[in-house]
Amino acid sequence: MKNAKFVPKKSANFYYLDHALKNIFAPQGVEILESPLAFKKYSWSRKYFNKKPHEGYFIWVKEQPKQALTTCVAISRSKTNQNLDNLLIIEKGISAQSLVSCSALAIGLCAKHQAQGKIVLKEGASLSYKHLHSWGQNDYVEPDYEFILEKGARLDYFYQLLNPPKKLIFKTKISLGEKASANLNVVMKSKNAVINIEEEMDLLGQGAQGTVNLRLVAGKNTQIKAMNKLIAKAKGKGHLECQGMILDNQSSIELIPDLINKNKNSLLTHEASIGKINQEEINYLRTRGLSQKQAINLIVNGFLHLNL
Amino acid sequence: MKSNILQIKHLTVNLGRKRILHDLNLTIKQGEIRALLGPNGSGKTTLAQVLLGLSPYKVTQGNIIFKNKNITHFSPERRVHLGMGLVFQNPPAIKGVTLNKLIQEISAQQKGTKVVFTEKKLINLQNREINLDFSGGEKKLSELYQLSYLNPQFMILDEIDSGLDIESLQKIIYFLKHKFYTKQRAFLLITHRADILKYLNPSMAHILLDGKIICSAKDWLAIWKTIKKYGYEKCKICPKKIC
Repeated sequence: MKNAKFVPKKSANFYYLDHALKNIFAPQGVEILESPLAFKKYSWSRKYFNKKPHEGYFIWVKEQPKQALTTCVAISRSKTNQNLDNLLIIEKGISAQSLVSCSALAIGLCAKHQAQGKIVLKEGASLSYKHLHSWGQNDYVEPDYEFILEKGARLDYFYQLLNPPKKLIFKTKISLGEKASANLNVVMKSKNAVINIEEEMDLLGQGAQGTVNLRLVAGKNTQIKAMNKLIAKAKGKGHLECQGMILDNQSSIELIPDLINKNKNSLLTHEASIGKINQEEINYLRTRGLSQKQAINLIVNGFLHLNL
Repeated sequence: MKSNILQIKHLTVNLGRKRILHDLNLTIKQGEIRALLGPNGSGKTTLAQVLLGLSPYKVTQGNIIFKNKNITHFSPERRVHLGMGLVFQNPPAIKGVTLNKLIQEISAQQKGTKVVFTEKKLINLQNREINLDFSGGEKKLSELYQLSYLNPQFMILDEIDSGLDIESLQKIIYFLKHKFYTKQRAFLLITHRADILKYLNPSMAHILLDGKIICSAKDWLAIWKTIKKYGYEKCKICPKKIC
């Protein structure tokens, strides 16, 4: 698997490098601040922050934005220890797109990136949230995000791990209010990594719907453990799909689906599979002139839906 | 005089401990069309896959000479870059990879001119995942489309006529005759049906039984009539080994 080169967008609406703010550009109807400042300025924001923040971003979308909002957090210095508290609020009825990247700018930094975030979608709001991670082989990364969807809100969340850190603890919690819907897609291709996924989706309001789709590829010397919890407290529908592919004998994938239904009118379903790559498919692509490595790469990217 | 494009010499192939092909010999010249007939399980598809170097088969004896090079231990992709091409009988579906994406990958490998191949039906196929829910005709069309980008000098057509209605078969035959047939390109046609033989008129037909070529004849029709009348069992006991 070839590591994709990742270049952070310095002209992002919020660009933060190591522990310093590099750029803020707030389009009309959107307020962007560093988290500590927002914590001071808006007392109401304190109920969303778990603690007094030291670094991170605050984005408040008050009017319909014309373009996608871009947020870029990067690490360039060795042994940097980032600890971010982020808050994104989308006001009622607004439809927004958010492109978020978190990355190390070199491979041997031994850096630490921790981010606690809350993303709040007010009534009828919708958000397309694309989250990219690209790390060095000795980094430690722990994102912990909570999405709160109010009545009728809609979330499409796509997370992609371009280059894995040494250890990734990926925590996500999505709470769905009445008639809210969420679609969570997590795509991870990794090697020489330990990855723990802790994901929870709560169907709290009547008519809430949620789907979780995990595609995991364990390359060389990788251990992946995914714990996915789907909880129905009100009448709703939830589906969890998890597929894993193992490319190496020294690797493992452990999937632990946990479906908890507390409402007799709810339906929770799941399907899961873990397997190796199909030799017949590799053979086929080699008869089209591709090398074994190219064939595997194409099949893996296809499995992760990156070709579509 | 045309030169040999493929020579199979005393080829013996095992799958695990089981012998699949026994001391097989076959020579094909440039521009020739040869037919290979045989019942299910006789080793036809194995031969096609061994010629392309596909696992899990193991050549225990003999050689494959292609364009004067001993390719017996070449990788599949090296054989393809030398000019071999295979149309699969049952090509696998590859989820998440569109036909268009594969064509991009093939194009990046290949240099030189390709066969010009335009077909309205292909427009619909290009953005679909390869062979996923393709009909029989669509699979064959996709196979030929892929090979048009590889521009092989020797094509193995492994039951290209299977699972096709007469209309689809005629379309495939049309493509073969008008897009692929040249004086330089050779074909090995593996089939169970006379229709395609009638249209492509091979210069010689061979019968493969239990991993051995037991009969070869220039008159493919005579062979076909014998098989139709008596079955392959007659070939087993035929003393002349030629129709």
